[in-house]
Amino acid sequence: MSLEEFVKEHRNAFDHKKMPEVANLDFEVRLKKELHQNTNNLRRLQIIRYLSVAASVALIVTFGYWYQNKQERIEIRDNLVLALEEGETNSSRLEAIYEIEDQFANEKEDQKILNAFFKILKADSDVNSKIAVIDALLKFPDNTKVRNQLIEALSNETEPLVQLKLIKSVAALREQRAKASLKKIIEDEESLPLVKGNASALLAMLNQ
Amino acid sequence: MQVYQMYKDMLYNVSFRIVKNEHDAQDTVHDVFIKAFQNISKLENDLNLGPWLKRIVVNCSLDVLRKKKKLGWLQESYELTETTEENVTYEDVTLKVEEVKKAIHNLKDKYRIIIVLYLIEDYSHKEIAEQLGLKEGTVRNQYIRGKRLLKQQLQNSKAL
Repeated sequence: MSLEEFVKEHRNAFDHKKMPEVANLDFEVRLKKELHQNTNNLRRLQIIRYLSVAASVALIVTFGYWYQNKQERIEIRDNLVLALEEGETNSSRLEAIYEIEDQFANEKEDQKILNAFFKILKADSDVNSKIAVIDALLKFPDNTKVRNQLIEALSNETEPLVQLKLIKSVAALREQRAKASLKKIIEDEESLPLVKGNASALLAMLNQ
Repeated sequence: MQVYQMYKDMLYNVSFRIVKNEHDAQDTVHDVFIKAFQNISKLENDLNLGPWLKRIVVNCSLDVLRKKKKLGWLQESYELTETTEENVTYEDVTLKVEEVKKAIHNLKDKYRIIIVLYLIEDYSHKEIAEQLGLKEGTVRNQYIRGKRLLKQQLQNSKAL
């Protein structure tokens, strides 16, 4: 009988060893630990998955809400600017100015609104609208364009009430560049004495 | 636990024959069951559970030896010159299982592992070569040499 045949014939006799009982207990403990760990990992994964889904939904909803809100604000603004530019009566224009002031009171200046205001300031609009626009523009004292437009308006304006409003505005802004416009008012024979007086007082203040 | 109870002793014997250490064999069997439970989905047919577990225990046991750097001889193994297999029969020698086991146990690792895998675990030379990363010819020659040494040991023990 060859060695191979002998081993084949007595194959079972080679598996004589028994796993010790202590090892069986060790295995039970280890298995429980592994299974527990797996369950924990699975639970953790599920929680993470739920949280990510919830976070994604919240993000989408927030973004959707923000985007919709933004679109609505743009629409309101465009409508108001349109009303401002195409206002057929002085009162409708004035109403649009006040509405803009109310709607965008706490927001950063909007270039489209400012441009519409600048147009009113330059155009041959009514006094009330111009005064309302100047009040609205004074809410952005740090905006260079606003300051430039007010100085330019002071130089070109001929309506005494608007002139007075502009003088007070540049006084509040302590705008040194308004000196030339003030001199122009003072030297203009058409200017009312009250306007000239205010202009002189401001010029003196700026020269101090 | 039912599967564990059913196969633990068989796997323990397989592992012990390779690692030659009871404690390592126990640990290896535990590792094998944990691995098997984690990868049970890879088992295509339940009827193959036993052979599947045996494959894993052989792999893990060889890994234990690798970790203990007891498979260094693999690097030294080279294509040995062809050794002709002697068709030895043991008609004149009465073989005893215990003696064969002891003789295998005393062989050097480089012969013992190949002898164990081929003779007892029913691996082919090709499978052993793949498992150990050796050429099939090397495994075949190493087996013949191992068997020769085994025979020598058995004859010596009879002579004593």
